[in-house]
Amino acid sequence: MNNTTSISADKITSDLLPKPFGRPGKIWTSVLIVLCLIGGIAYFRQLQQGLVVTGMRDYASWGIYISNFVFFVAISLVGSLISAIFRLTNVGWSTPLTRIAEIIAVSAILFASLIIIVDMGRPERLFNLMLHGRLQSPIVWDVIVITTYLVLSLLFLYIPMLPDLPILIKKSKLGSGLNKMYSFLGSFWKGTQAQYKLSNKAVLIITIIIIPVALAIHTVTSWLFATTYRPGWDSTNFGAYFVSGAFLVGAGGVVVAMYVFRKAYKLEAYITERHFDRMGKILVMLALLYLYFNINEYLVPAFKMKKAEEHHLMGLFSGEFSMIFWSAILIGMVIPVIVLLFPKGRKPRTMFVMGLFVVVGAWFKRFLIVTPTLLSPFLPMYDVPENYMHYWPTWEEWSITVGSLAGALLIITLFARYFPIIPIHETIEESANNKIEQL
Amino acid sequence: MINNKFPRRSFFKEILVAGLATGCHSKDPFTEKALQEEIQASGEMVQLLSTTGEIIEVDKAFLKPLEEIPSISQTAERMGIEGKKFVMVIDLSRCRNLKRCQEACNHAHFVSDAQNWIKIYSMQDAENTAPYWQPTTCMHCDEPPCVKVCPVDATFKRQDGIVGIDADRCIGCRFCMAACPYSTRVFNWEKPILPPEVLKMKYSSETSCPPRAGTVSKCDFCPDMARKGELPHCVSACPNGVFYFGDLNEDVVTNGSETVRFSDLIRDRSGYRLMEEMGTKPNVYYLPPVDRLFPYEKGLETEEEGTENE
Amino acid sequence: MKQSAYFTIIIVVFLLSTVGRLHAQDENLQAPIRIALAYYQTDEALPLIKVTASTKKNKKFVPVPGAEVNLFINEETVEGFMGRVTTHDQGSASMTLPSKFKTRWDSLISFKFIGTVTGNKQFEDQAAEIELTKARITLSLTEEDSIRTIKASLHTYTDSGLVSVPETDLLLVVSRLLSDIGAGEEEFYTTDENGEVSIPFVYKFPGDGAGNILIGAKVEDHELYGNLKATQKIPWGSPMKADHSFAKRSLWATRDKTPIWLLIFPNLLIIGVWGTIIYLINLVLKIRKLGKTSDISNN
Repeated sequence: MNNTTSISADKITSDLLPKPFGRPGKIWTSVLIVLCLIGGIAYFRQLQQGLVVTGMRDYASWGIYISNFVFFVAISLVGSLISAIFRLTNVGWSTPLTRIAEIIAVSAILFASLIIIVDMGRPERLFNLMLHGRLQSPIVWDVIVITTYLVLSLLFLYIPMLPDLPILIKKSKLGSGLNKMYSFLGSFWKGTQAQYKLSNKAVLIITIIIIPVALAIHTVTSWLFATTYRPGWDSTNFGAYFVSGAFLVGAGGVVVAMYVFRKAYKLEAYITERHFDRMGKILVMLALLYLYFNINEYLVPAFKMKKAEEHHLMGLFSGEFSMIFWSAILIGMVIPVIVLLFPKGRKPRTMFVMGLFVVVGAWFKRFLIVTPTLLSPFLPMYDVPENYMHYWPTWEEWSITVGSLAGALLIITLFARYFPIIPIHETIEESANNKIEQL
Repeated sequence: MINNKFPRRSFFKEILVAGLATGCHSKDPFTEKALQEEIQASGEMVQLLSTTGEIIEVDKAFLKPLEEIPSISQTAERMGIEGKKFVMVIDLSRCRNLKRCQEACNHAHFVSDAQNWIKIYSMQDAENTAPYWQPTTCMHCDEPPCVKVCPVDATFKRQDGIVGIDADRCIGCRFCMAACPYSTRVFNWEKPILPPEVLKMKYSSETSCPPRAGTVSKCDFCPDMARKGELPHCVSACPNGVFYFGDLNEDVVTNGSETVRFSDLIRDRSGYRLMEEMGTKPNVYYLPPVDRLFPYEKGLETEEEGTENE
Repeated sequence: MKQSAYFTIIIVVFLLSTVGRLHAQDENLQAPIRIALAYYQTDEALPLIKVTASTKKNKKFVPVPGAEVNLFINEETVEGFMGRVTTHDQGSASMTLPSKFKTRWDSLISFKFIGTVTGNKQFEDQAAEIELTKARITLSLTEEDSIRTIKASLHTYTDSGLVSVPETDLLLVVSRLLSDIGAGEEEFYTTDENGEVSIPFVYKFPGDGAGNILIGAKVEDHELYGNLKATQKIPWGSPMKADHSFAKRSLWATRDKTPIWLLIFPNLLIIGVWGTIIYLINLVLKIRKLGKTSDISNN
């Protein structure tokens, strides 16, 4: 049945095919590459001189590398949220967002692994993890779960993309490098019923299994902290606290990506204002959920003010870290909730800004989880140089951190350059089934 | 009749302080192996000067007739010494923050002054309680949180109770530092500045030397000294006898000049352990600062001297 | 007038030259070194000589590490040469009398040990010696009607045989890992006219697995006899309970001793999930095969 307002398959295809970079695209990519290079140079310095080039010392022995790692792992949960949970619950409008979510997930998990290697004092001994790994160590659990999630996310990115590959093969120049890549990846996809049966089965299986694995990666990452005695980390709640935070930052990340791709590739017909509206409501819910966990994590110990925790909590509430603490809560949770409660606040541009607030607030929140606890040890910080008692990242640390973020964005950007960021085939299918929302 | 150039009595204290247990062989006390074998003359002669100016020719083989104590295999280093359980008792009533222990330990293990393995804290548990000086070493816990979290078995618990570090395996993830509630571990952030012959030494987890960049270090209870029948450097260095060290299985600890029964010491002086409620089961006991040898303020003098020298 | 002026000049010149000489001494690279020797002899073993080297620095004596000291027995010749030791960080070194001296040693009653430092760039030549007489402690441990007694007697060697030594302090100890602890209530026990001491042994010390402890009698730092020790192993201690905690599975053990629950559940999960992943990859391969065969059938 033809709906006069539905878009034709050809138009969909031409709209969603990956396009070469325009000027903004080229500038963006160049900036990212430069940031990656600067990060690389800084890392080279770190390899030569050791971790002394960072601001970390014996008390603040984990700094922004580790909080960046937690941030990356958190954002990577978005893949399972959008793709899997929405698919399972038959949320039809999420179809345009699934691939964005998946590439963010893959890219984030890749860079989580990289930044962890950067933080190691002896990166050349990485394989000791395999040769001498102890199953008793939470780090080994984290390595196992992250590897598992990476493989699953790659499969989750690849298998639903199979129907799009023949279109890409057709539309690319025969014999070119791109054509060869597309052919290698999916020339065997013929769209037969037998193939669809298998691919749907595969997608369903991944959808189901990736949810517990995604919950596992952030729970196990939270156990890197919760298995220690320290104030601020010694909490039974850490798993749920981290997972809820991960969902929030992931959703925020998707909103930002949605807006950027929509603008850059003129995808207003596919990522509509209704999408933003709905994501906005979800963001509110997730932010309130995270706020709830934050209240539990801070109010309850503050009520008791145990001796060991007093220094830590007062440092967050009114001391050294109070600026960051209150800004992160305000900017990362409270303001988005307030703004997004209103329909006007859920317009695309406002949503984009709120999404940025959420993501930036989340990055600083991760820092607040990692370093302040280390600067509130049980035994006094005494008999050490003054600079051991504080932490301020050096330019090398900033460069490497920004470089890793740039690298993750670069992967997403390059992916969108060569692969359709919105699934072509699924969109055509839904349009044919009259599921596309009108502008 | 002793015919020394100088009186010997004053040397006695020095000898004790030098740390050799009296009446002890310099051989490995645990194997009772006689390392005395018949050394064959090599035929190569070496010239020695005598005090009267004459030249004495000796065979090179007889120059050092003692065999070196054989080096211990990696597996043996990880297993530890069988049948022993090392324990330390720190007498807080005697400590006055002299920092001799720090000096000796740092010197023996090439540790920089910013990263003392023995930290002497100025402690005051509450506003109205008395301040005191607390030397803090690694606790060598029986349920060590650091060992639990190490992903590559670079830090390990031995059967003699010592928690060791293998700096050839450590990947520098610093999880152990986060896990230790006593903040006793330090990290070699930069490449250590040491003479080349020291850097070329093969790393041994019993001496924890030489320090390797990008790995974690901490107090190791000097198992290399125990194998030689000697006390750890800090124990010997303290002139006030603050540190007692011994084998829990033998129920005896010594500070170099006094040897006492461990159970008596703890019972009579009400010894305790730090952060007992963590459940780490540390092997360092403290004797409370009662009937002190020095007032707390005496320890501040060392701090002032330190700032003067800076 | 002229004479007193003359004298003054001489005195001033003399003083200046003395000062100059003192100065020269400071600039002289060789500092004086102090060597001390100590003699240790346990049971029937060959004696051990300990050398301690120190030098005066800022009015305090500091140990000298890395000093090479030549040790001789009885005479500073090649026949008496025992060996050369190098002092360690704390400034001391020790050496046992080489076994080639055993027969000579057995025949001696009094003897001398000499330690020399020669040809050292940093320090002046120095020698030290100790002259001692051979003595032995006889330790006997008896138990009668469940009363344990430690008896020790000190004898010195003379030309006419063994002679007991009265009025000498002995320590009676239980030998422990890094030190000795008193076996009796007093620190010292003085030998009677027969050169004997005898005390009841009432303490209960932990021993090895069979309950053995090492009881010793010592002479410490004696002018004539040096440091002597006689020991005897006897099951007068309480047997040590073997501690098997090292072999148990635990969270802090090595990877081969992982707790069972940690082996079972995570591995089940990993196998479950990775089994699924392999199945998924299999599905993709099947899709691929389907595509290829439909290619063939189309062609």
